Amino acid sequence: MTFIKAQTGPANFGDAESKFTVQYFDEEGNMTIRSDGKRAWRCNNPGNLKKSPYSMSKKRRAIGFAGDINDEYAVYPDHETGHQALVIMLKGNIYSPLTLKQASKKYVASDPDHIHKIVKMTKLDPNQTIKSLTDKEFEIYWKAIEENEGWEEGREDFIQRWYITGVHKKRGVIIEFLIANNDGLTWVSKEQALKLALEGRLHAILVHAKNGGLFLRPEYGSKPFELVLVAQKDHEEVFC
Amino acid sequence: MKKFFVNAIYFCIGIFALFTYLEAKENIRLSGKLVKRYYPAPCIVKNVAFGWYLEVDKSSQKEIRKQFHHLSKKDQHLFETLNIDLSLVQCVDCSDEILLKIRSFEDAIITLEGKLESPCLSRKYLCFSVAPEAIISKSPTTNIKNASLDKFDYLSRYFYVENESSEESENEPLLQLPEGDPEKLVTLQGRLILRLFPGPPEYTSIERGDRANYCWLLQMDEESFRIATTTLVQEPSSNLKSIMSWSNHRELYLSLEENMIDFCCDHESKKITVKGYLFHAHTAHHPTPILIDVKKILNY
Repeated sequence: MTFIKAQTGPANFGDAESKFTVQYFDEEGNMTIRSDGKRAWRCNNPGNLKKSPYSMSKKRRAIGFAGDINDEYAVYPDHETGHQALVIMLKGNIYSPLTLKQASKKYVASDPDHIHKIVKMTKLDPNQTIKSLTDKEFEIYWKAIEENEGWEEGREDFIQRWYITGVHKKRGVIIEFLIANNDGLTWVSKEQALKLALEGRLHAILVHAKNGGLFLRPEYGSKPFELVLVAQKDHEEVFC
Repeated sequence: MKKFFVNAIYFCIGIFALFTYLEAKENIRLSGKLVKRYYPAPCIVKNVAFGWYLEVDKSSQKEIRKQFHHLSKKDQHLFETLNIDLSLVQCVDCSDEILLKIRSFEDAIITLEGKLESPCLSRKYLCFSVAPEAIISKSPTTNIKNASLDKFDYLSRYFYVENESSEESENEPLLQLPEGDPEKLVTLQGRLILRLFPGPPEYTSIERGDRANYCWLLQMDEESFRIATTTLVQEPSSNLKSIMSWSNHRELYLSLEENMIDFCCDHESKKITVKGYLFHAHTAHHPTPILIDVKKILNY
C-alpha cells in the first residue's frame, strides 16, 4: 500500500487540538488514520521537520502536511522517506561543516541540553564535525537524533473507500445504493450514500443538479451503472 | 549490664523510627482529581506557567494527614500558620512519559504512585508534592476504539472534505544562498523580549502539559525586518510567502551562547543590537520563521 496524499485530521475525542491525527490516502482512495503515538510517527517524519519549502519540495517526496494552528509538519509516505529527508539535511551544506555541538544548537535552538543527550547516547566527540564522521558514526548520530525526537507508534485505523455495486430504483429514481464494504454487501439509503460520498467514502462523484438536488455518478473512467436485474417488485429495478 | 540493655532498646527504637521514616519516603498511592493550577507570571519568568495538582479524595487525605504528623512540630506549626492545603498534592518531576499521560487525564479521577515530598515554601500553593512514577488507573471514560466501522456517524467525525493542496508556495523563489557562497553576517536591531513556548515532550501546548520553554526573541524594527526577509541563507531555506504565513514573523529567535544570557536578563524589553548568521526554521524546535545564530549582542 503506497500513500499518495496526507492531511490533518481532527484530534481524537478528549485529546487536545494540538494532538492532531494524520489522514493518509492510498492510490485506491482508502484512508488510513494515525492517532496517538508520537508526532514523528504520525507524520512518518522521524526528524520532526516543519512544513517548509525544503521539507515539502519534490526532492524530499513529502505527500502533504499536518499540524495544528501553531505548527505544521511535513508528512512522508513512509519512515524511510522521512528518514532520508533528515539525513539529506544533515549531510547538506548547512549542517555538514558544523560540529555536533553547533549542529545541536541549530537543530534544537531552544534546548541547550540537546548536545549532552546526543553525546551521552553516541559517545561521540561534540567538537567533531558532521562531515568528519565515518559512515558508522554518522549512523549512530542520526539514530540518536531520531531517538531524541521520539518515535512511538500509536493507533492506525484503515478505512476503505467503498464501491457502489448496485442501485435500487423506484419509479425510475434511485432510492438505495448497494455498497461493497469489508463485511460484504450492504444496502444504504440515498441520503446515507450522499453523505458518504460527501465525506469521500465512496468511489462516486457527487453531482449538484441545477434544481438544487444531489445525485451520484460513477467516477470518471469507470463503468456506468448497468442494468442486470429487472423488476424485483412492481416499478422497482436493480442496477449494477 | 542493665544499662547496656537499656541502650540496646533505645538503639532498636531509633532504628525502628528511622525505618518508619524511610518507609514514609517510599512510594505512596494517591487518588483524586487531576487539575491544572496557574501561577502568576512576572516579567522574567523562571518557573513553569502552571502546575499539575491532585485534589485528593478522603482516603488519600488521611494518608497525607499521617505524613503531615510525621513532620517536626515546628514545621507543622509553620505550615498550619501558612494555611497548608492537605487536600491538594502537587505533581512534580514528571518524566516525559508520565507528563504525556497526565496531560491526557486532565480533570479525570486518577490513582497514581510515587514518592511523597514535604511541602516547599517556595511553591505558589503550599501543599505536599509527589513525584509520580506510575499512573495506576483512571476512571473509565468512553472508549471510541471499540466503535465499529459500520457506524457512519462515528466515522463522520474523522473525515474532512479533501482540499487540493496548493503548490503556490513551491513556485515562490527561495531565499537560498547559491552553493559555495559564504554566509552573510547581519546586524539587526529591535526590542528584546522573553517569550514562552511549549517545550518537550510534544512542543505543542503548555496548557496540555508540555514543559514551559522560555526563549529570547528580537522584535525587529522595520529596517531589520527588511534585512531578515531579504538575506539569503543556506539550505534548508524558506521563501517569503512561507515566512509571512507565521503569525510571529516579525520576531527573531536568538540562538545564544550561555554567556549571553545574563546580558539578556539585564536588557529585557530594551532595544538591543545583535550580530550573527540567519537561518530559517526547519524543525519542531524552531519557534519563529527566522532565527539567528548570535555571534555578538550589544546595547542599541
